[in-house]
Amino acid sequence: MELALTNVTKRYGKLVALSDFSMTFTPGIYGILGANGAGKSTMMNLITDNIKRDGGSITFDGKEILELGDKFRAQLGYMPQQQGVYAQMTAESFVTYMGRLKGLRGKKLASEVNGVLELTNLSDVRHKKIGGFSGGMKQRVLLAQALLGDPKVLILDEPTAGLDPKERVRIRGFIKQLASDRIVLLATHIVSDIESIADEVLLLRRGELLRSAPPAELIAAVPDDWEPVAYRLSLEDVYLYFLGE
Amino acid sequence: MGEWKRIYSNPRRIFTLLLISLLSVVFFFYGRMPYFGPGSVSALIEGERYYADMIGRSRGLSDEEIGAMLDEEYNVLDSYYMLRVMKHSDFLLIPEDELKAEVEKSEFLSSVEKLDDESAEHILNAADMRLSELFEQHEYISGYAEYLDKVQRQAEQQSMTSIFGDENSFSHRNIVKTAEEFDKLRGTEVEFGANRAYEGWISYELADYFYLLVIVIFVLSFLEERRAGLWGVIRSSKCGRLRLGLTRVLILASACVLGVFLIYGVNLLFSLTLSGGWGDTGRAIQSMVSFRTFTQKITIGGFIIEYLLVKAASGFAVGLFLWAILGSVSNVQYSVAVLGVVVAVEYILFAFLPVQSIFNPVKYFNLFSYIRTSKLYTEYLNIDLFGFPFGIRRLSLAFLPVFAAACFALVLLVCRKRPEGRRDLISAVVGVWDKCADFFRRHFTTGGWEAYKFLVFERGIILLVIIFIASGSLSYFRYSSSKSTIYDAYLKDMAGPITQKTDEYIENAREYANGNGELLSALDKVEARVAELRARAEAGGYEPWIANDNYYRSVYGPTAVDLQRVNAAVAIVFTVVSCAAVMSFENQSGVVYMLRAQKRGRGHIFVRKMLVSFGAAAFSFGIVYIREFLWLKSAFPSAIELDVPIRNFDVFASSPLNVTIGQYLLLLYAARLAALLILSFAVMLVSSCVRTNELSYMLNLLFFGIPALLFALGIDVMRLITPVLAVSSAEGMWSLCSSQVDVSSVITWVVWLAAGVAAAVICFRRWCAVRKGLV
Repeated sequence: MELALTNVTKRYGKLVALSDFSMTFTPGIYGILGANGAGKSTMMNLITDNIKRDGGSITFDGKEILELGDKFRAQLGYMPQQQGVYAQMTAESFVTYMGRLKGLRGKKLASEVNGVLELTNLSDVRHKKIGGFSGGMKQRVLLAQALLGDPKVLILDEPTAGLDPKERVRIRGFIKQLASDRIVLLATHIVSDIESIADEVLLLRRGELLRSAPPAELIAAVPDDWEPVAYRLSLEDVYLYFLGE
Repeated sequence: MGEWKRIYSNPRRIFTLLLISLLSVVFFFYGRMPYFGPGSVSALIEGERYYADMIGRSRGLSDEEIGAMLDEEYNVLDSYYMLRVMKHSDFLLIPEDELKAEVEKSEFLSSVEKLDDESAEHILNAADMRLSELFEQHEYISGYAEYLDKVQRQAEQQSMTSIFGDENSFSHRNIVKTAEEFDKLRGTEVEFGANRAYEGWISYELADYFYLLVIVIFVLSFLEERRAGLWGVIRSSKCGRLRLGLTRVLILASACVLGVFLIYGVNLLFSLTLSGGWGDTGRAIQSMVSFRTFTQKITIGGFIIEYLLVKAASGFAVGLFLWAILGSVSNVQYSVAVLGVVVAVEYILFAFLPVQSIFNPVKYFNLFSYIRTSKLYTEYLNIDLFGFPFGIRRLSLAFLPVFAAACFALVLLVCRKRPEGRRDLISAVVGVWDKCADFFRRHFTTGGWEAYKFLVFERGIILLVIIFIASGSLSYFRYSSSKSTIYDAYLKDMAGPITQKTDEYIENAREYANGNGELLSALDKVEARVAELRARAEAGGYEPWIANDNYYRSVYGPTAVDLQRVNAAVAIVFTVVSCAAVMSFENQSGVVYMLRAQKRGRGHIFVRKMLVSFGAAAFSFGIVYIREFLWLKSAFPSAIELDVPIRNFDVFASSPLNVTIGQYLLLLYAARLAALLILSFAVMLVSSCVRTNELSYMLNLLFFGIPALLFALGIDVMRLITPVLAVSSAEGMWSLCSSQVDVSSVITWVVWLAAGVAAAVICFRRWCAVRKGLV
């Protein structure tokens, strides 16, 4: 299984959001780091075909995703950054509705809905309206829908934002488990999340891929004499060293 | 000062208030129209001008002289009307000289005579209605003193009967009190004058609900921090509790004064402008027919001031009540539902509880007594409180400060309420409901979900019910006065396929004519007509029929063009309103990207959304047009024969389509349905381009609804930008089959079809194909 972005470019007018970006993803967790406007969400929207690219190609197992269309989207689990939900729906209704859109039905749909609600710790509030949920609960509802249908490519934009530490650790562990046989792209500002679970980290700056390597390798790349370091280098220091202009 | 600024400087709120004021005037104007359609505005204005002119002529005249003047005017109008009927009849002489002489008698008639027949008829009808009102007023004024005497006589008579004789009973006391109160009115001088503006203003019920809307807007603005999740922050600030609450109470008071001006003040000024000015405001209020039973001595001017003050005060009390209810439930959505239930119960008690009911105090100590305040002034009623009669107006007004004070106290409690607290009962009930609903919703297909979203989340079900109720006032038939002759009578009697029986009928009729020259001459014409129809049918290859096209002409033909346009405009507005949120709902919810990333989130969901829109458009079609056909069938059950080949009608003799009238109607209704479905595409496109449902409603009404209504009102230039002619299709079909193709109808249809297809493609691409940039 392989998701390949080759020379992908996206411009918004004069602003280059993603420039000649190339990367091949195989099963594993890819942490994407970058300041606001670095191109993280643009990359995710390009993979989910929510925006039109200006150049390059995106292939899944060698086939262009635009040609694959809904066959590709059937393999996709997407959790967007914005907390857009149907506020009038209950958690169960929302996840069931999204399951329908993923083509699930009958007992399979029911068992998957129960499963993801359980995983995201939403079973107790499954009959409550999402409009009354806190930010963290909404985040879990969005994660729940992304996990439906056993997606092979999981795109998670800020999945742990707004979660309490206990919940974050739990979700992080769960994502780690999932990554054994699927591609997980994880964009976040919470660097510690990536540090603990990512197999590889992509550093983006102004639409360009600055570096791509496992966390330990990136940490090692920071010079020992770099000033802000107190006693132990972490991925946060990597972020600051490479991206903290 | 910050709260005042926040409330009063919000552009959206200002715009909404001005829009409500404008709508209030528009509906007032609409309510005054004698009918809706081309020429209705001029008919209304001319009718009002006629009224003002008559009032002007009555100035300085005695009661008897006014009566004589009205009688004379009635005779002039009546003679003129009769002469016009005779002018259009082929069996009555047209006394041109007489007509001319009548017209010269009146400036009004001279101006009417210059108009085309249809406009003249509308204006004459409007003048006739105004004259009837003047007669009613004159009769009332002349008989007012007698009316007061009659009240006294009735009181005496009733007191003497045994059932009212018990001096300690409510009935007896009520009779005595009524007699006393009306006795005080003796000597009140009622005068003939310009009442129409005031009567129309006071009886305009919708104004009360527009005023209520203004109050609701301000009350909801006090709860905005709850919606925005800032309740805790506001409450934690130094002035965020009682002080803020008191400021808001003052704002509410100012809002009521503003609302009174925006709704009642503007309406009154508009009404006065329309109906000939203030007149004499020093006259007794009892000079108006509506105030026959009003027992307070006051002038018209004094009444207006008192009424406006009462309106402001009652609005303030109602506002405090609404605020107390809305504020007492923490969840804003639930609080609106609770308020809805409270208001509905109050309305049911107010509107449906019989006056005689022992529970009638709850009918009158009711929220709607303070909303529909005019009823307190125009209806005289004493209610039974512990066996004593109390005038409902005085009682309600005396209770108003108590009601306001109680609501004020509740509001103060609401201002101290903590944002987070125990789970309330409503939340528990909603929780149970959601749990039950989830059981059913988990079986919904994607199509089912789209329909559910439309009906429940987008309030579609409420809109459809409103549409259904609103469509009840549509009319479909424009009476056309046809020439009634013996020849026509024979044809009517012979209606049906032309067969051997037709010939036998003519033969028999000749025998019955018994040598009557007029009848025989008519039968000659009938025979010739039958021969002509036979020959035409033989040449055209269809079945010959004797059929009257007048019914079709009066519903689908040139006679009913204005009605068809109005109905098409209404169908457009219905479709626009019901489809406007279908796409914008997703934009508003912010789920578009997530949906589009799902396997069935593009074409699959778009098709279902389209079907929902089609369903809504088809509902509008059914409500307006299927109802039209059913009405036609039920109104003329024996005359409507769908098998008649249309070429039998003279107007369609050279029709390029060799179809029956049933097939003609099928084509017509299919074209209408197609036009409405195309419209739903256009509405969907606009809806998909905006972020909120609110904006979608506004833009769609602006693009499609308002131009359609303006065109239906007779503003012809709007035909270029509205699909009314395509939706109506009646004009196009009629002209097509009568071989006089109406180019503008055809162009409208073609342009509309092209625009609809383009809208569908763009809308589909916007939803399904990749986007150029972020939403």
